[in-house]
Amino acid sequence: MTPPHIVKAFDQELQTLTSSIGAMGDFAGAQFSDSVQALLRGDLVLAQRVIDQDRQLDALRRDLSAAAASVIARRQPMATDLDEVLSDFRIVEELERIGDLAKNIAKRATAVSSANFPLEIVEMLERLSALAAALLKGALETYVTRDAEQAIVVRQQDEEIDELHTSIFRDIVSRMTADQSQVIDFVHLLFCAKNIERIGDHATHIAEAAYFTVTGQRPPLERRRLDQSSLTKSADTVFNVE
Amino acid sequence: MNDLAAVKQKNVAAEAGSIATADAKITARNLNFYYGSSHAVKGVNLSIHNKRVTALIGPSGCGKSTLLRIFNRMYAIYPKQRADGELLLDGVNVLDGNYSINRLRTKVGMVFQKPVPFPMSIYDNVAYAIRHYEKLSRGEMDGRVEEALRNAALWDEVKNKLNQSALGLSGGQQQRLCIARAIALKPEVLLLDEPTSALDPISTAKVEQLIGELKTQYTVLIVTHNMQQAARVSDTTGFMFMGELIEFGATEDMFTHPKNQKTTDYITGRFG
Amino acid sequence: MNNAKAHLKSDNMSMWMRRQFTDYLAKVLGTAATLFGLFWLAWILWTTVSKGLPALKWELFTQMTPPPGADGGLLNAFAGSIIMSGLAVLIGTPIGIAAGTYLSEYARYSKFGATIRFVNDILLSAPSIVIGLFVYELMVRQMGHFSALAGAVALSFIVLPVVVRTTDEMLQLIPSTMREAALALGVPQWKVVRQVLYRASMSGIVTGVLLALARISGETAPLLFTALNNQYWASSLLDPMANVPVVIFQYAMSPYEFWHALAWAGAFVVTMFVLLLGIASRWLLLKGKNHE
Repeated sequence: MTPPHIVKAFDQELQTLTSSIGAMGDFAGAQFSDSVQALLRGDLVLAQRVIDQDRQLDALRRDLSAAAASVIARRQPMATDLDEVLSDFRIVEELERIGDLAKNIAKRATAVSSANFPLEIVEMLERLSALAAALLKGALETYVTRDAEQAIVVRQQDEEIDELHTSIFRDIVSRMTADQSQVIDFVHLLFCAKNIERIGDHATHIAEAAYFTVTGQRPPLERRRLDQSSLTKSADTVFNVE
Repeated sequence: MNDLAAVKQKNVAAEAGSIATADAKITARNLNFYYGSSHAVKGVNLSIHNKRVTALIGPSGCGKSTLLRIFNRMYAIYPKQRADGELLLDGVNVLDGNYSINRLRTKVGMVFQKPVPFPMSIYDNVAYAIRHYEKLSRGEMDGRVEEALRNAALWDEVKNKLNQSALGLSGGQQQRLCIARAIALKPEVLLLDEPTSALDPISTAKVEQLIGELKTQYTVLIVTHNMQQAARVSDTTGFMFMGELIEFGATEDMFTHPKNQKTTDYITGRFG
Repeated sequence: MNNAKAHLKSDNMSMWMRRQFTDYLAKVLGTAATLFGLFWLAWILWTTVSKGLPALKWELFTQMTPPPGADGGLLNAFAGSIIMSGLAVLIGTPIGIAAGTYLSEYARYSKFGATIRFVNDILLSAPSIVIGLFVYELMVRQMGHFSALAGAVALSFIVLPVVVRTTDEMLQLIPSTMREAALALGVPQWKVVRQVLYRASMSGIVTGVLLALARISGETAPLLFTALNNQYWASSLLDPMANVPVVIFQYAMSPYEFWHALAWAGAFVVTMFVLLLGIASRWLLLKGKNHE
């Protein structure tokens, strides 16, 4: 790897920043998993905890941004060091957004009755969230270990998430048209699926930032986009709210 | 937003408290300095934390070097320069005429802008002042010289040529030799007057790393033109302007959220 | 527009040529003045070498000054010059270094120091015959006879201001930062001067002493009134003593061809000695500079 800085405290600060961001990422990941659990199992206590704990994530984002700013102010990072700190800023923002989306899922968990969820949808959502969680975990790992090659591999996983999200979207929409009585629950589920898909996108951004940390460049090829949900005609007219 | 403001408030209060309560090695009370009739340092009050790095920044002629040179009464070798007010080292006023100037200088060491090795061997440069104060056997002296050179992160580079002239060292090595010479006397306070302004970036980084190590044993006071350097090496920073100490506080805050507009203008490069 | 430009350009051209001419003129005048000075120096050297070299022989260093008509050398004169110059340097150097140190280190900014410096400069340029007369009054008249000691004292009065001046200047040349660096270690001033500053200015001070030695080795006037001359070995420092400059003076004034030859040989040897001292001091200074 790159040789250490002559000023050892600089290395220390950069390492502390990285490991803190890694820890923040683990926390955001836990929030996300908990929120999906709360939604699918109807666990209101867990949902409330996720909502409450989002503040901690906000606080982490504030502190770590300040720490990164302090590194810039005090150490004047250059070249690869500058890339690294800039990535740190981006990743902190992405994690905070992931936290917000998880909180949003938890909020919706308090508004639905999970007992009525069709089993197929639950299974699909579980799979979707597992994929997103894996992507997030992988992205954070490439960031902490500074593995640019792996970052490229990891972000490809988003394609699978997009595909699955598209099919969940179509499934829910078709159920909504068939059965009007549960439409509110389905709308919430639709948003939750969308949130999970968005979390996958943020995780992808983290992988890209990890790549930038190492190479100082954006990843080579634009990722193929497979999320077709916003192109679904019948949904377009009704639910295109974002 | 309110939350943020409250947290900020709390931080400021905590920091102010820590400055007041941290054990002060040096305290200045209404310290003034005059070159003849010109008033170069105006009513400075501050306390320097024990075993921390304190930096003084400010534009040329702001009085930061002058202030530093009061701390070991370096000014006393020139006529028509005088200081008044109080400068307490461990609670004792060193500006008092009864306070031995040589004793003060063994407690407060100094390193200058340009490295000035004495025209003698590397070994003798370090041993020079020790010989004046202590009668040591050859073996003890060897130990002291090695210790000082090690602490100045120079030992590995010079251990095989201790008897060669110090004038043959590179600029960066000469400056670390000057630091070794100063710490060989085991002072309590180390004054650094722009110690890297004559050095290249790598030598500068080495000296900066060294400063970070020195603060475990010494109270370090550094004057620098290079405010980024102050940001890098110091725990506390003072900003001086026209002979006055405008702002004094934790370095982290000084370079991210200075309280005084003049400080902001200076560190953002809007004047000075 | 074009016209104006062309005009401007031609104006510039004439100014440029004028400047070039002035530059050329200055170069020619400066070179001419240098050549003028060098011409006389070369002439003097040529005369000394052409007349001194043939007169050079081994007996010069083995035989005493001869009476008219006899064979001889300049042995007693060389010995006398060496003894008196050496003695003068021994007297003048320590006092000069001490005084120069005082001026530079202890009285640099004081009015008293400035006054001494001024007086020393006067002594530096005082005509040597005045110094000779002074020592004549001071010692020869009191003792009742000419003596080598009086000669040495007179020469030391010439050495003294040179050493004071060079010591003062060489110490002042040391950057104040070195002084500060040493004092900042809490070492008392006298030790700093002795152990650090003298070391740093050693080559300069030695150069000053060498230059002073070069100056006195050709001085005639002060010795004429003090050591006078002696055709034989002086048995003590209290007797008159032979010395090269006075011997040259007397032999050159004489009507004897053989004495003329001896005088030329003596002049040649003294000139070479001074030249060597000059080269040695240059070399020392250069060495000192490289050391910095």
